[in-house]
Amino acid sequence: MLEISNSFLFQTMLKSAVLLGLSAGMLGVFISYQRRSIEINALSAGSFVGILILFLLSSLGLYISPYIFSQVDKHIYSFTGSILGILIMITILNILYKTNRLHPHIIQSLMTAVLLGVGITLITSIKQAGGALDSGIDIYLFGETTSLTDEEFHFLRIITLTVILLLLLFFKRLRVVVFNIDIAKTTHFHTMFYVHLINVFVVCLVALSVKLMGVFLAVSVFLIPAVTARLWSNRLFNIMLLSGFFGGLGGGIGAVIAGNISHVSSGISITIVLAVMFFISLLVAPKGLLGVWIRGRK
Amino acid sequence: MFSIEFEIVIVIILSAITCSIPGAFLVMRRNYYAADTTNRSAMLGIAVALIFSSYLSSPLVIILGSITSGLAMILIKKIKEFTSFRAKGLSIIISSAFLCFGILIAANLSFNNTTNFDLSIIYLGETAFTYFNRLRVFGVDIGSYALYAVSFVLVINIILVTVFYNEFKIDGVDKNYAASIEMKESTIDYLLLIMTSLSVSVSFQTAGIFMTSAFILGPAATALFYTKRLSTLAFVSVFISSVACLAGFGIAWPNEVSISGTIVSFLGVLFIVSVIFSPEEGLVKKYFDNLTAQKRLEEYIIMDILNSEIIDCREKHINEEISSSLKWKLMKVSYIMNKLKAENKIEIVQNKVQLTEEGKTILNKFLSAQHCFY
Repeated sequence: MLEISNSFLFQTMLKSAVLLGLSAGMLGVFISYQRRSIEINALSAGSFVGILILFLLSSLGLYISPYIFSQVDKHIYSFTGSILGILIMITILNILYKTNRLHPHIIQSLMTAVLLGVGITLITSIKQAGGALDSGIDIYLFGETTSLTDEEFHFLRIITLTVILLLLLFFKRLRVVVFNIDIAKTTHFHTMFYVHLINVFVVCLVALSVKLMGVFLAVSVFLIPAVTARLWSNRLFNIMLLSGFFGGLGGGIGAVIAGNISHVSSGISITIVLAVMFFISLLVAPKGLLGVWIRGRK
Repeated sequence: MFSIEFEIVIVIILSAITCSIPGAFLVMRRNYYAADTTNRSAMLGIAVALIFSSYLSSPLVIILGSITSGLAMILIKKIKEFTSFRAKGLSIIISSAFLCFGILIAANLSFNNTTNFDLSIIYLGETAFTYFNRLRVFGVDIGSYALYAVSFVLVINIILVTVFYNEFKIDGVDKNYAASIEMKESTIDYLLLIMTSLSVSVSFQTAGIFMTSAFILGPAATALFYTKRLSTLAFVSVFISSVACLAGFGIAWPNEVSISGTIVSFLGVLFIVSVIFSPEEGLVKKYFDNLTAQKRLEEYIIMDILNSEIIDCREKHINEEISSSLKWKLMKVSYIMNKLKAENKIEIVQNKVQLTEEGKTILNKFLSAQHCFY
């Protein structure tokens, strides 16, 4: 039933899912140690609104600096929109953290839902306007890996490989920054550079992940592999490699399932595969149920 | 019985009130992950129930939806016991797993593959369609089905809150005190769980399973800016949610955009407006507080200089002396001196500027409050 065909669409989809899973899984370890996993939910909702606002602007004839986008595809334009939306969302969240005594998680989950509401209002108003504009927008709700064009795939390959390379290169510094930023400040390197490096990675990968996984499930490819790898090991380097491996494996299997079964979109199948891997390792892994039971018997 | 608009507005307002009652207690207890988890994992139960029944507001949907959302919360607690993970991360994993299985079932198995049903009603909500499921008693039309389901859950919520109000209050304000009088925390937990999951699975038609968390958290988080008492918190959040519903429906209905999206974005607008303009801790109030505090500090500095008599206190050149020693502008110093004189804090005795008795006591009070040595 499940087969890997040689068609261009299928190959693009498989490669992009594996690459995204690998890089997002490796980055997700640092994010989950910084306790920012709900924030990614909010960021993906922000990118959704950003895409829609840029669509609306382009329908009104307002192109932002058209000589950049005249050469490339409209899809890159939507990618720019999602990055703009994420940046706007980050500023909103940072202002709200400082001026409030509410817990940050309440603000994050509230703003997620509110931004989704704004996006859905925009979607319905776009659909009323009619025309060819509303054709590609439903993709962003649950994600579709086949919607990637050739240029976009090229873009994705560059970003994900750069993220993986830089994470491996700066691993030692990033470890200190993530675990204890005060110790990192006493040693002689630029701490804020590494903090902002993680932030730039997050912005780029969330924008890609919204396109592939959908708005609601964009967080799962970051968080689930990292938590799964945490069950198997205690050292951060091993956890990072394992998490990248789990993410890539889940992305690959999920893409194959989504390509072969008609009613399933890729974000849902990838999340299901990752969740099954999490539940299996919850039972079997050395820190899971089995390990706890054996340690209890001793 | 009623017109279409009136009935839809009533369903929307009742479901918003139903959501905002447990939301007030959730925000009070800082149980923030419960809102997201319950409404995402209710998808599995809804999808399973839709295999057997064909319309969205049947009792089976409510029962199964609340059971799965409760199951997810219990699963999170059980996993948290033997691993080192936090509940927040676990809640995202488990709720997204439940959500994905639910969508898989709904897309492939529900409705027996015969009717072409748009699943986005479940995700995003469309209240206008609740009008078409009518409830008939002896062949007489007595209103839409969703109206009675929502009001039933609302009555359950109100009864639970009024009966267990003291327990909710003690547990929400001080957990240590609640433990010391041997009150069981788990009963309050489960009560809140029942209330939240029931109201989520009833009101998902209004807002959709992704935006119900705004219905739960939004009014309570907005109401926290205006009050600190628990009972008024509940009433204010009910008021805010109904205002948002009326305004959102009023904007959305004539323009034919999504009702749920408009209501939720209006809730967000209310939240941000109250962050800026709230009377006790708004941004505007903080800004003016900072301004007045700085001006008062300048007054105290000048009073301290006059008191210590470091400089020559003749009346003729007092302003120039102070402005040259502090390097402030002459206008500013003379303005402050005039203000001090008008408030009877300084006086002129034999061509010399002095503090009055009143000014001395005020200055001493200020200095003793500063805890620093001069």
